[in-house]
Parts: sequence; structure tokens; C-alpha cells
Amino acid sequence: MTQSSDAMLEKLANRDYQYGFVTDIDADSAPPGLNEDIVRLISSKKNEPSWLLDWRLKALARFMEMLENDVEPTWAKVEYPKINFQDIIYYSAPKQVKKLESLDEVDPQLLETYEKLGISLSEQKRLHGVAVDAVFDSVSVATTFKGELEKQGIIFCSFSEAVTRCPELIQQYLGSVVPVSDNFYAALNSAVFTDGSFAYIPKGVRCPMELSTYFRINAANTGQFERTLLIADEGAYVSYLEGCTAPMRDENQLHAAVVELVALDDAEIKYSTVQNWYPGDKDGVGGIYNFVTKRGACRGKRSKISWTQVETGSAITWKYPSCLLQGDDSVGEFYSVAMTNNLQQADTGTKMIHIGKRTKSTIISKGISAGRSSNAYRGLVRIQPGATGARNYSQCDSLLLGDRCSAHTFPYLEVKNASSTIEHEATTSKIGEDQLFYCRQRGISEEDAISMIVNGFCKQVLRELPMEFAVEAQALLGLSLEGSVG
Amino acid sequence: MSDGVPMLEIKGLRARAGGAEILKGLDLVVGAGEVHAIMGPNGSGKSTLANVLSGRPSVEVTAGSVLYQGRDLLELAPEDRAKEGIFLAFQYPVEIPGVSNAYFMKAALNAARAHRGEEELDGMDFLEFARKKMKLVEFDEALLNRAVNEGFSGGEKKRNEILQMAILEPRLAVLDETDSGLDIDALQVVANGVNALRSPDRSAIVITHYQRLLDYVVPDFVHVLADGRIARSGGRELAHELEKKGYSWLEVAPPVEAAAP
Amino acid sequence: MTTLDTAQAHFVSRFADCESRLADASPDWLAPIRRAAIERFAELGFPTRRNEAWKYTSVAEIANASLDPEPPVRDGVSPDDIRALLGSEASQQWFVFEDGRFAPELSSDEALPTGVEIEGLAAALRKQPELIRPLLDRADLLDRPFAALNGAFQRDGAFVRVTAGASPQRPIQLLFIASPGASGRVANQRNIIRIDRGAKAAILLRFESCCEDVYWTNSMTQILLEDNAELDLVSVQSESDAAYHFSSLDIRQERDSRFRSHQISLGGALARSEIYARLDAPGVDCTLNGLFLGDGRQHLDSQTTVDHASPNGTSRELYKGILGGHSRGVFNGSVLVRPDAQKTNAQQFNPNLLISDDAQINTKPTLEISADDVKCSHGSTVGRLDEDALFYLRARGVDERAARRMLTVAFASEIAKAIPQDSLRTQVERLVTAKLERGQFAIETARRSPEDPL
Repeated sequence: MTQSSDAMLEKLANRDYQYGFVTDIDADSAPPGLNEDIVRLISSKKNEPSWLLDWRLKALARFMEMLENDVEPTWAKVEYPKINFQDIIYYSAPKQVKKLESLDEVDPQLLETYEKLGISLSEQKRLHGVAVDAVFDSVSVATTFKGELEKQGIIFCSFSEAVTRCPELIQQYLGSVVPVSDNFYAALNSAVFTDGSFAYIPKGVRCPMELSTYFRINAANTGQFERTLLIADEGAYVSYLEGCTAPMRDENQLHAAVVELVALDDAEIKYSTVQNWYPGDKDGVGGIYNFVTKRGACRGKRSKISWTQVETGSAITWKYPSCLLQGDDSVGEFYSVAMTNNLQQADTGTKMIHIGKRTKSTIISKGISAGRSSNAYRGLVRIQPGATGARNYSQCDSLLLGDRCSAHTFPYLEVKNASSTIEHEATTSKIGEDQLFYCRQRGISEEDAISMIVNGFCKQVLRELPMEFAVEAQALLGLSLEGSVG
Repeated sequence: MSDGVPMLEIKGLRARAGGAEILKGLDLVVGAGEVHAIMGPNGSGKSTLANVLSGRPSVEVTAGSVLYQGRDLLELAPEDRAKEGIFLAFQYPVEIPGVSNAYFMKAALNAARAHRGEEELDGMDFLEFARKKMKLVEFDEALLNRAVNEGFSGGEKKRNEILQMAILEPRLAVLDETDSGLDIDALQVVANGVNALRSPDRSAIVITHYQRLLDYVVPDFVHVLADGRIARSGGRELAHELEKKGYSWLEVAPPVEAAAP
Repeated sequence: MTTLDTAQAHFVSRFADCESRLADASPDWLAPIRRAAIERFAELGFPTRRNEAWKYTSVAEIANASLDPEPPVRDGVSPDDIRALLGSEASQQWFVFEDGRFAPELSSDEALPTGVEIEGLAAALRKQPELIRPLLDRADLLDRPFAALNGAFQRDGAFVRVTAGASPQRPIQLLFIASPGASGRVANQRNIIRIDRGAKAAILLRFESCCEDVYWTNSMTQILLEDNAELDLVSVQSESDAAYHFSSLDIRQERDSRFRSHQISLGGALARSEIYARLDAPGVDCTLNGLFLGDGRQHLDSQTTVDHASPNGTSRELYKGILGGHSRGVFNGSVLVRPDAQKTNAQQFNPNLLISDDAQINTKPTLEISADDVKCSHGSTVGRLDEDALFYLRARGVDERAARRMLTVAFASEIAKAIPQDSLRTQVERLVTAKLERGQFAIETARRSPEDPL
């Protein structure tokens, strides 16, 4: 690579994190440490029913057992010092005196914070067609367009609110996709999760707008443990987006979320993420540990769950949005762009578990590594004995920018049914000198040429994002937006 | 451009590529409005000359000078040469997955327009402009929305080069074996593209292995390149002579002038 | 204690029992090497499935079999046995190893081709310690438990050297045979193959059996290719259906050397091969081809690692699996490109054919790339015979069973076809066809599930 393109990459790699400010706001925080009292405190702050407290305590016991047996997952290609789970604050919320009746009552400083992040909570100012649930540290502070959605029977609110509003749905589905003891971080989340988003789309309803949650970590030394549950009833459709940022701090902060999706017969859920947690500085100091369990169950026949993620943030990403393809003819999709810079580490991918007949899955993963970062795709495709006629196609491409980064591909294909068809392919390459020269000979600067080529490399994924998010994602990737022609 | 200054003036050009010296003291003057054909056997340095003119980083100029409209060309970056009006039709056009042809051409055109202080074209204006050019080179509009050269046939790739040339309207077009592997219809298209650009203030260098293209693009001058130097120069009749006698005829014929090694 | 722990303790204590007997059989310098190996094995133990490299293969069965790693010598194989096994190929030149020990009396007594040295490793250890000792004294070989076990009990095997510039016309053929008395035993054999500077050779390692009972072949082969050397290594494993087979190939390639492995895995109840090729110098070319053909309740596991540790290396890998009956296949192919290995070109492809409803495959092709100016790709597919091709053949009057067999043979043939030496290719084709003819393949494939959309 020529000198000027090195300089360009350097610039890309050293781009400042734009969302690193801290909001000075009074917070109601619990003392650090993990024990039954903390779990009881969280549960009581939320006025939870006793069955939920019991559920949490069971999860805590399970987590403590795992901690004792030292089963913290180590198989991912990431390295970090051991986390002391007793040093973390498990509950922090902006102080508010009473329950909010309308957006006007939200602390203006919070509203301002979201304005600064480019998320307007004022419904008039919102782009048409997106409803937002804003989660600040551990608590949902506002949900927009609730009224309009309710007219169609759609429930979209904070998880805490859902516990009181539709406890039967929560009781039926919570932990049904990601059980309490599924994995180390899922157990932790189940014990101490504080808030998150909930959505229920009733039978036959096509959700008229995008639902969106915007997560913000603000307080120091806190972990963020949100829980998201989306249920699409028979024939329903919903497109859901999430975004996230955090202040620049020198210490690492833990984010261990759990997302559960359930799609019943003929239902479809499209779940898009633009993950931009603080990645740490160029020497690898600070940044978020993003250890997230996301899983969707295609329970119904012909149901479909599609994950799209653009991962640019976090010091460490450990994330495998997965699909359990239980219903016959159900479909799972995973589209991912993961870009790592400096000393970032990402180990991300998916699991497609084919259980029902003629289930189909598609995996498109694009990894871009720069700086001294490490970027791994890890994916499992499992065809169970009953999944007659199942099909999977996986394509995992890696692009290396610079000679000090690395790109890894770890696909696992487990096939227990002979009538299935599985195809996996992967490539690793750098931006070709001939491609760069071709662009430059047409008068396009090297910087624009690299952007254009990286953009082209990610296109299969970016085009899966809802329009508004695609713009944000491309900006995040440091790319010029490909224009309206073509 | 002031009168009398040639479009291109190459003196004593020596260049290395792939670890070997390919051009060994090449001299060439191309006047404004002229079309020059450069012929020669494989390995004689034709493509290296095209690469030097366009600034390909893998070719190293070790001696000599190249003036473009009186300015030192060699100090310019490839993109600046392009913006100044030099266009290379690649012998092997490059595929760029995921980047649409239309977007690519619009970016290239707007880079040049910005350089000239002209307003950039928006998507609609660009499409309208591009459609006219597509007619000229009989370009299938569907290819406009495909990724640059990806999955194009050989002929489609070459047409795409000529379309880009038509859109960018260069002052000096360099066609590097654009005719190789083309049928007569496609050859006609290439010729239309070049002929449409002919004007008193534009020039072209047509590099070719065969004289066939020169029946359609009639050159003002024909040069024969051999072992890194111009071995013979003449009018278009030289091309026919070559066609008849083959390149081996050159080996026995004395060079135009005895250049020092 | 788990079965695995018990077995581990059994092997460690057997070593203590036989250490002095082993020492008597070999030069003194080997004793500390053996000791280091058993100590490492004692640390590692039998691998569990929590070990990523053993995720899909359980060795509980081997551990349960309480086999003897250092049994007394028993002659059992007769020249007639060998003639029966090899058929028409018996007239060729063979070097025979019985339960891992060189058997000159069973080997051909023809003269060796010029530039070729072959003898039992036990003898070579004494004669050429300066060549062999550095190869055996390598701590990194001990990181895999069964290689460590092999290191502890190693005694004999093949020593093959092709001297600088030599280019023997005929392939060098080694036959490793389990004797009728192999029952209950482990044959820990160690082979050393050296292809000196500029030499070119083809070597066959053929594993056969005269024993229908449970035994374990634990084979370790170390190969060194010096500058500009070239080797075709054909390994054919046709152990008996009750056997456990574990073979490890360690390849070091020096500058501009060319190595091609053709590995055919046909036999064994549980068979696993591990290849570790380290491209240690610039300009090296490495090809790994493989075919595993399972039926019945066989479990066939192929592990390969190509380690690009130097610039301008090229590796190509094609491993094909065909699984019928209730067999299980495992492929784990890893391509590493280290930071300095710029201009590496590495390709890997693993297509698999499941031809019965109860066969299964687990495949894990991985790329770990730490250099940017590289071209690396891998692919893997799992599927059945192409229904369109099948229909096409049937429409031309070929009956379904014959059509399936034809397509299966065609799928397998690519690997044999890549063997440049005619005699080796013919031999491999014969063995592969014989395995496919065993019946189970063709019969079971005809059974299709009624819910099958095709």
C-alpha cells in the first residue's frame, strides 16, 4: 500500500470518538458488588412481582455457581484481564421524583443528551416513522409514539413497564429463548438486568413504523445489563433498530445484554443494530466490553428473523446473534459488518440451528480490520436430524487494512441430516493496488477510493439496513455516502 | 492552451517495471489535435508507456522527461493527471465489487468538474448526460447499475472503458490495446468513441498490436516500438507495411536513429 | 476417576514398568527425550471434547480398551499374508513394518534405487544420531497428547532418506501391517523422512491389517524437505474395522521446496489423522489433498494445519468426505498466516457428500490471518449427490443404483487423479473402488425420506 493510503488509514484509525461526553446528572446508584441484596434492591426499585424476583435469584445462584467453577467463556479470540464482578455497580438511574406522564417531564438535560447524540425524543422533530425508547444507563427514560402504536394494539414500552402492563406475556416468554443458565453472561444479565425494551405486535399487524431503542451508558463503574424482548404474533411484522454510545472513560465498562425474539407462524422480525460503544483510545485504554447474547426463535411455520449489525465500537465485542429455526419453512438471516481499529478486538458471528423442515439460513459477514486490531468471525450452522431439506449459505469476507491487524474465520458446520445443503465460503484480502490505481486514474482521490472500495465491500450488508440507519452506519465506517444514482 | 506547445513531449524516457528496464530512451511528441498509433510486438514496452503516462505506482521512471501541455507530468499524482485531462483506457479493466458503475463514473466526473471549478452534477443530471454517451457507444444501461466491471464480459469491459472516456472527455486519451479480443461491431464502437472526441484541442495515443483498429481510427502518425524505443515512425501506410511484413521485419531494419544505450 | 484418567494413569505406569527395557533397546540420548514425552503426556492426559481440537471426536472408546503400549515382540505376519493383502502389487518393492517394527525378512530384497536409504529407525538411531536426534528432540511435537504418547514409547519405524539431487524413478513403498497378534496392543511407530536438497521422490505409506480385533496404531511421521526438494507422499489407511488409528504428520519445508500429500482414509473404527505443515522458508509450495470414505459406524477425523511462517508461500488444500451408513466424519482444517508471511496464497476447500440418512459430518475450516498482502480463501459444502445429474443419467437409461455409484466414484476420483505417479494412482483407485463396492454405500443411498422435497 502506498504512503498516502497508509496515511489515510491512519486517519481513519485515529478518528475521534464523537460521543465521548459525560452528562452531569444526579443518579440514584446502588453500591458496587453482586449479591442477593442487590438483586432484591433492583427488583424492589422496579416493583416487580415475586415470581420475577425468584427468577432473578435463581439466575444469581446459577451465575455464582458458574463463577465458582470458573466457566467464564475463554474460547473467543479475545484477551482481557479477568473481570472482578464485585467491583461493578449493578444499578444506576437518573433521579426522578415521580412517574413520568409525558415527555415534557423528562429532565431537560437528558433530552439534551439525546439531542447531542442525534436522537430527538420530541415526537414533532422525529423523522417520520420511527418510535424510540431511550435507555439511559440502566433505565428507560422515554418512549415516543406510544399512543399511535397502541391504536393498533402494538405494545412498545420499557421492559419495566411491560412487567406491570402485560405480565402474562413476560412470564410466558422471558427466558424462553435464552434460558437463565444458557451462558455465563446471560445468567448474570438474568439476575441483574435493569431495563430494556419490550414490544408485542399482535396477530396480523404490520407495525407501521420502525421501533428503535437508543442505549446510552453514562455513569462510571456501572455495568449495563438491559433485556429486550420482542414478540411478533402470527402474521405480524416489525422492524426494530438499536443504537448505542458511551462516554470516553479510562476504565473498561461491562455491557452484558440479552435480547430475545419470538416469531410465531408467518411472523417476521427484522432486527438492526448499529453498535458504537466507546472503543477505547488508540492505545487500547478504556472502552466497553460488549458481551451480548442475542437470540431469536422462529417458533412458527414460515416465520423469519433477520439480524443486521454494524459493529464499529467497543473495546471487545463478543456477540453471536442467533436463530433457532424451529418452525417448518422458517428463515434465519445474519448480515454483519464488523470494523475494528487500533487495539479493538471483535469475536462475532452467529448460530443458525436448523430444527424444522426446509428451514433456510443465510449468513453474510464482512470483517474489516485496521490498526493493530483483531477481528474474528465465528459461526455455527447446525442441521438437526429432523431438519429435512434444510439449506444454508454462508459467506464471510475479511478485508485487511494495514499489516499489523489480523482477521480470523472460524465456521463450524455440524450436519446431521443428509438431505440438507450447506455452502460456506470465505476470503481474506486487502484493497487491491490495481483497484486503487483504476480509481485514481479516473480522478478519484486515494482517500475517496478507499472509502468507495470499503463501502462496496460492505454493500451486501448495508443495503439490509433501514435507510436512516444505513446513513448512520456509513458515516460510522468513515465512508462517503454512495449517492442516489445506481 | 497556448499555440505551439505540444500536447505531450517525451524525451529520453527510461522506465523500469517488474525489476527490468522496459523503456530505454523513448522520444515522442504528440501535437494538439493529433492521433498517434503506437504498435509493436509483445514486450516492446507499449503498456509500460501507457502506465508511465497515467502514473501507475509500480512503474519507476529512471530518466527522461514528460511534458504535458508544457508542464512536468511526472510530478503529478495519478488522480491529478486524470483531473487535468489524461485518460487511460485499461488493457485489463479492474473489477470493484459493490461499487456501482454509475456511482463510480459520477464520482470521477464530479472530481474533474470540481477541479475545473464547475458545479458538480447531481444524480438526475448525471444520468441524463450519461444516457447520451451510452447511445454513442451502444452501452447497455443495465450495466450502469452493476458493480464496476464485475462479471462483465471482455467486450462489455472495453465498452465500459470507452463510455468512461466519452463521459470524461479527456484532452489526451491513451488506449492500451482496447481493440484486443473485440469483434468488428465492438471495434466500430471503440472507433466511434475515439472519433467523436477528435478535435483540434484533443489528442489520442492508440496502442495496438494489430493495424485493424487503424482502419476505423485513422491515425495521423504511426510509431513502432521495439525494445523500449521508437524504432520507426511514419504515416498510416507504416501500419499496413507492418501488417504485411510482420514485426520480424523490424529486427533487420535499421532503427530511425542510433540511440545510445 | 474418569475412564480417561484411568487410561492415562495406566499408560504412565506402563512407562515406568518398561522404561529400562526401552532404554536397553535404544541409544542413551533417547532416554531423556522419552522421559520428557511421558511427563508431557501425564500433564495432557487423554483429550476431552472440551479441548477444541477434539470437539467432535471422543476417545473414550480407546481409553476403555486398556491397550498395552509396550508389548513383547510376537511374529505373526507371514509372506503369504502379505501376498494375500497386496494381490498383484505384491511383486513390487515393499518395505514392511510389522506392528510398527521393521521386518526385513518380509521386505523385498531388491537393491535400493540410487540415492535412497531405507532402514528401521531403531538401527538408524544408532547409526545416524546426528541426523535424527534434532528431529526427535522437539518439545513442540509434544503438545498433542498422542504424539507425546508416541514419543514416550517410540522404538522403531521407518527411516527414509533421499540424498541431495537424487530422483528415484519408482515410488518408495512402505507397508505398515498389524499382525494377527496385534490384538490389545498399541503400535507406537515413528517414521522419519528426509528429502535432501534438490531431491525428488514419491513415497507411499500404506496401513493394512491382519488383525480383526481391537488394536491401536499410533503413528508419528516427521518429514523434512530441504531447499528445492520435492515430495509426493501418498498415505492410504485401510486398517481393520475394529482398529483405532491415529497418525500424525509433521512437515517442515525449507526454501522453494514442494510438498504434496495425498491422504486416503478408508479403514478403522475410529481413525484420526493430523497434519501439521510448517512453511518455514520463502517460496514454499504445499498441497494437501485428502479423501475420507466412511461407512458402517466408522468415525473418520481429518485435522490439518498449514502454518505460513514465511513470505511467498502457496498452499492448496482439497479434502473430500463421503459418508454412508451411520458413519461420522470430521474435518478441521486450519490455515495460519503469520505476520511476516506476506504474499501468501492459501486456498482450502472441503466438499462433503452424505450418502445415507444416518451419516453425519462436522466440519470446521478456519483462517487465521495476520498479514495483509495475502490471498486466502476457504470453502466447505455439505450435500447429497446432485439430483439433476442423477436424473440425467436415469433419463439416459442408467439405473438409479448404478447412477449413484457412478456419481459417487466421480466425486471421489478427483483426489486419486491428482497423484502424479501412475502406479500409486492405480493402487489408490483400486482401494477406493473396493471400499465403495463394499455395498453399504450403494444400498443405503437409495433410501429417501418421504418428506424430502426433491
